[in-house]
Amino acid sequence: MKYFFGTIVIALIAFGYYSFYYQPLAASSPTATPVLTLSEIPNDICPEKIWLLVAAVNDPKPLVDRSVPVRECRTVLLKNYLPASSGEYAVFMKLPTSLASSVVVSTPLTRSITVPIRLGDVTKDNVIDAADEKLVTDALYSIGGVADITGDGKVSVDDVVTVRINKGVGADRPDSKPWGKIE
Amino acid sequence: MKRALSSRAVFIILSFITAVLLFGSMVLQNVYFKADQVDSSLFISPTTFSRKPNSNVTLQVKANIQGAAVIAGAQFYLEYDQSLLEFSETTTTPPFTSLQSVADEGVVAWTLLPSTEFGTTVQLSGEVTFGSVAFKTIAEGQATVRFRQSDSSITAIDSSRSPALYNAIVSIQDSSGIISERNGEAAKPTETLTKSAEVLPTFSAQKVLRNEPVVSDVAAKLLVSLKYVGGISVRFGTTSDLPLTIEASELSQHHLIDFSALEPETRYYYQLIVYSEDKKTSLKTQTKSFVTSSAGGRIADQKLTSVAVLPEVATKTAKVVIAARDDQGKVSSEQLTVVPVSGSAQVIEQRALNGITVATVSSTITTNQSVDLSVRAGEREVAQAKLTFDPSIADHTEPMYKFPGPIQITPNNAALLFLVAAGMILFGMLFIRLARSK
Repeated sequence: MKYFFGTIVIALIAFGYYSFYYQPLAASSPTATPVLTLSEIPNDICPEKIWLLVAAVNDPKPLVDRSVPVRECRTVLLKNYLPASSGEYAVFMKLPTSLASSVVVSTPLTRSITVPIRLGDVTKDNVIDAADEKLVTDALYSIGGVADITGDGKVSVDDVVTVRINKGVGADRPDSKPWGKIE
Repeated sequence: MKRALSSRAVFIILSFITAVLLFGSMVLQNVYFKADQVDSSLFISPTTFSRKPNSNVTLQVKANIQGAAVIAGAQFYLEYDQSLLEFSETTTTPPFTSLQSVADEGVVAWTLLPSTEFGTTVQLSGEVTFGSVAFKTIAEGQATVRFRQSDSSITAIDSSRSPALYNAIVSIQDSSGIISERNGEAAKPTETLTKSAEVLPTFSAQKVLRNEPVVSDVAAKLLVSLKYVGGISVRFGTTSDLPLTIEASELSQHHLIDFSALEPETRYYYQLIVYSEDKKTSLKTQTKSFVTSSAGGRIADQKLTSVAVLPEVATKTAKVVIAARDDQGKVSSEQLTVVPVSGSAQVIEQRALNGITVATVSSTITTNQSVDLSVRAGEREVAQAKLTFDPSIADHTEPMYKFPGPIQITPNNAALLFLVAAGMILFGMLFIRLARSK
């Protein structure tokens, strides 16, 4: 009993700290429903749909393999596309000019996740390389088109820089099929 | 029934966890806020030039970068009068290489990237030279070379935000020159100036509350406070027609305007044009002037060193701008430091560039307080300043980011107060327990 009062006070401090400080920061999702947030997308880009592929970990057969709506340009209600039963699933997502990204989630989904989207695959082969950089560089100072990665209506240094910093190879589909052209 | 852990052990474990959470979050917050966007003032050097027709003029494209910026590329659109100037070439300066430069209908579009040996980004700060643009003068007249603000960009990366790319340019300053057969004569500054008495009241509620220059030999900073948030452009020059322009891209109540590449011992006239967010209304101030100092001073003098604070009443942060001069009025080369001597505040950043030192002073206290600042050269005090922090005033001091991310974490004063109070209670209790402990 000697330390009972002190323990209670410190527990209250820790609880209050978590409640008032950490939770507002963690609650970045606009709703309480867990969502998939697409980050690193330029402000002028508002994707209405994204290609989503869901497969159980260690099972290449896709459970979901289709275009799904993007809410408020940045979020996907991932819960709608995951099985209700508990398990681990690989979630792949791809925009027409982005590398395919993947993340492993556990169901039931209890928290939101954020996945960076790497734009710049203007040749649409799931690889951002010198060919993409050349295509964008050749279109420099022109208006719009596929080379306008940032979506601001003109091909500028921002588009070239986006390609350069996002160079790499996207995730392969679990069934080893090609991603194909996603529109 | 015997408990697995004694009350004392539980108390110590909880104390330890709480202390780790408190201090860890403070450290984390500091680390987070250090990774911030960096402001850059883009300018052309020299700001004024004089040439005969059929001669060459080379203008350097430079920027004053107010912190360590991670730069991934740059793009400049330079507009010039085709009847007076003919574009010759662009030349880059390491670490940059030119990706493409095109001149068409009086506009040079120029894109630069870090050279391959530096990778995709370079970290730069202070005065940075991107390269130079060469023109040939073809006819007599007054020629201005200016940046097209909407298309010019210093593309930098702030990995703490999404999207990480942002345009670091917050103000631009152009260059103007006289092309005349009487080389030099026509370019001399006009010493007499017809002062404009007009203050156009079209921007009815807006007022310029402060308009104060702090000057060195080659640079100046203009401290401007407005009654309401607004944008600012400054027309300036050594002649009465104010041929040069600085455009500040941010909308704010307080502006720190950079004048760069100035000539020593020269009078510059300037006029502020304050405009509303939609740029439909504007307010012009009277033309004022300042004289740049001489170079080559030594020991900073208390009487001649000038210091100014912007804003004088701040919510969280304020800038202290200092131009140190010696007893002859020459710019002192002594390194200055700003030290808070009363009140609770910290100097979170301090930079000296072109004879002007700028310190950022921050307070996390949620109540009103006055802070006395001492400007020191070594142990010697060369100037004093005072500023007030009032967290209750409307915060219009923060710049508006051009690329706002979807998640913006701002310091939470209530949370900080809670942390401080919790920490005090915790350590008070620990102290009492230790004092009573046998």
